[in-house]
Amino acid sequence: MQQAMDLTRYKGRQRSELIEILWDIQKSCGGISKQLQSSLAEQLNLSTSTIEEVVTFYHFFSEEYRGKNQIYLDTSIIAQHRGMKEIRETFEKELGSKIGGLSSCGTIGLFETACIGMSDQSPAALIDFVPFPKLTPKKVEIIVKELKAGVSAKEIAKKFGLGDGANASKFVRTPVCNNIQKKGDVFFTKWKKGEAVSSALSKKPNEVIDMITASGLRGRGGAGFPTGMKWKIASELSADQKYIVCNADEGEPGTFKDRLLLTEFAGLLIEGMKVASYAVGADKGFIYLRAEYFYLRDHLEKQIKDLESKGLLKDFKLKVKMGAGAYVCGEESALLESLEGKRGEPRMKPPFPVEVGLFGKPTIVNNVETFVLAAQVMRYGPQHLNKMGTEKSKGPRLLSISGDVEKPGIYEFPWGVTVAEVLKICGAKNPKIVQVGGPSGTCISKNDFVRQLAFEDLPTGGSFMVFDESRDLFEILENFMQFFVDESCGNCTPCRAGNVILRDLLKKINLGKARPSDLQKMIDWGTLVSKTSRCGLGMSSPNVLLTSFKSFEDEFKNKIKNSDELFFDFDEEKATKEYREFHRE
Amino acid sequence: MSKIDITVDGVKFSVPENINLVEALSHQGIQVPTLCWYQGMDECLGTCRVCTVKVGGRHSAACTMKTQKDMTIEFDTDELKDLRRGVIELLFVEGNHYCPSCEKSGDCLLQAQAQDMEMTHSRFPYEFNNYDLDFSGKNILLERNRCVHCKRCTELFSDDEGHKVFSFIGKGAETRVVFDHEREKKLSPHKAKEAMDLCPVGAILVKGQGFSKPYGERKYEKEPLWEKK
Repeated sequence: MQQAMDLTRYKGRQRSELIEILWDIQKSCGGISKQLQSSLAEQLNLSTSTIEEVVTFYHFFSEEYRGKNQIYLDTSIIAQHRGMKEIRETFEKELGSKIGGLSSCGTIGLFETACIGMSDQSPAALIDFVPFPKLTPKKVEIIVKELKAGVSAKEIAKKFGLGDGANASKFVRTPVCNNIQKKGDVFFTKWKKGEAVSSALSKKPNEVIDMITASGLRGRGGAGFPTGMKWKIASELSADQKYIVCNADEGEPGTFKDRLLLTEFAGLLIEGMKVASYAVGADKGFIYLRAEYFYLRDHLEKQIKDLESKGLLKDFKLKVKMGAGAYVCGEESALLESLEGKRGEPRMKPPFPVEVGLFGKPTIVNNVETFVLAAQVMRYGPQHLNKMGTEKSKGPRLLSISGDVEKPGIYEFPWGVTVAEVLKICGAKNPKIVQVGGPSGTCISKNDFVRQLAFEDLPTGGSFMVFDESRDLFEILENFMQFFVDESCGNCTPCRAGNVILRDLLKKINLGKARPSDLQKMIDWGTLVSKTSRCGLGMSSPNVLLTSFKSFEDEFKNKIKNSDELFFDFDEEKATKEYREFHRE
Repeated sequence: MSKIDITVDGVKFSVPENINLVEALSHQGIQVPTLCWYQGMDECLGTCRVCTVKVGGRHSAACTMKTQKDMTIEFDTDELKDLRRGVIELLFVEGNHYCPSCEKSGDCLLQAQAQDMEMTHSRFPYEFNNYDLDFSGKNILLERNRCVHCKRCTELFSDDEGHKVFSFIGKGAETRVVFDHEREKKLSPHKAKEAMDLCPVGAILVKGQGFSKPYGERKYEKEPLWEKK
């Protein structure tokens, strides 16, 4: 039963706080019923539909009751390959329920969610937002028994042994492991509190920006916009308010390097944000943390407090704000909408956030890794980055390596490293498919293992998934396309309608029901979605089909060869040609 | 307003600077097809993507662009015509559009654009999605089978007191338009009519008014889009 709640405490709160308030209600009531929505609307002086719009957009908010305890299983392809099916079945058996429903006792809900950033310790689940990596059926039995006995998820997690480093600290306390497999000398230096900030403050703001520009640093979220240029644009704009926003909405399946940075390098990240605020003249900042990383919020807030108390964040007010489950919020303008308490639908560009950003003010949005590297540039100078890499991609790249490798985890490589070198170091056996940059990236086969990871060749936001000879290409592709269908925000036609059609066409091919012309259709329709979509999600969702077709054309053709030859190709264009000519006359 | 030069399909035009690209082109006699955008709109919605052109070699929705000095635009190419028709075709398979029985037939911009683009069929398989109708309103009937999710009603419409009435719920392919029942009840007849006219398709209907204008006398029947060209 959904709990009642007195909502008068929210009277007069700002619209921009809506997501925080909804989190409060979701957590204490197990859901946000229509009734709660309308009483909240009254308190906030908003229309009920404004609340409903937001509640129904985010994955972790629900109108129906989701239980006192809420379990979310990771549906990523890596988790599937690591035995998620058995884990799911065990949960269903122990709870006496199915995915999407409540346990027989009525208090524990079981759901699925996209990649939770634990692909190196899969299969994993979130239970009341405490991560439970490396699940086994045995562990599941224990978890359910304890939950039924009223033990909290946090207490249960402790029984499985705490992780390494800050994962075991007072403010985190989870069984998550860092899995640092290859340290490089750019990220993994010893942090000296305040070094980056004092280095920046000893220079003029424009000198700080010049250093960032000289380092060749490009945004690490994936698009690779030159960071120095972004900061320069923001610094030259005059405005009564500017903002610094850290994009910690690490949602690309197979990526988890920001998890490590937020855990072990949070101080440096915050210093990097302070450096940016000094450089562009901003006095407010936000870390937009994905809901899947809720367990790191207290830790981040503690780090902010620490630096504040040392006087290192003077004139800079920094706050952690939570996401609520939406991949599209990793797109910077959608993220800003979400920070304003709205549905996370991407804005139109231009204007870009650096000019018109949060609450209409100039805003720097950078990835976690970008801020950490900016702090390192302040400490060690631009050559710390630009001494390595390729012409257009300077410095190191943190990779999140997962899948069929001996040592999944975090690796620091210089840009320009070849896929083959990476595969050798992480211990990939018989690799067949490598997905570089996650589902929105590039799917490559052996022929391309000589290629380099770099913006000018194979760009990546950090995800690097390896699949060996035993894996079914089409199972992987279907998982990725389903992901895009689930995560499309629905704002523009091609992404909303087109991804559904691409997924269905892929299913048809996989079932052996496709006709020879369907392969060309896949390419043409994918290109259409990519060229007409509004934001990066729709522009890149067909990549996986377009690139996998290039890399594994024979596998696609084999699917067609076995299809029913009774189907013939009916060309509608040709069939209606005469009509159209007649019509034109 | 200062004038600047832009190039459209190799031809130079002199247009006011920093105005909406669709509007600028329409003054030059170039009609870019649109669905969510209409003349006189302050801010564009950029949702339907029917106005896709190439600006400086990049695919963009023309309604989201402002005229700038030395802009190079590609508009009337086979590739772009095919992309724009493709987007229209996507809308036809995503929803359930049966023009002959639709109250808005002849007044529907989706139908008019499809006819203007000489669309005879959709290249995509029909989805036959299930959409619920909302009959519960006092004035308005929501026919979600025909909604193209353009957001005109959610972003641009407000009641006499300035309150938002329509909104989107859900996400992705599950996105649905809904209305605030309390506020819908209080809509004046002219406001309800305004909502129906704002909707480019037959998704928002005023109860009892669907056929107040007979077929044959409707907007795009009397003045087909291609006559503007």
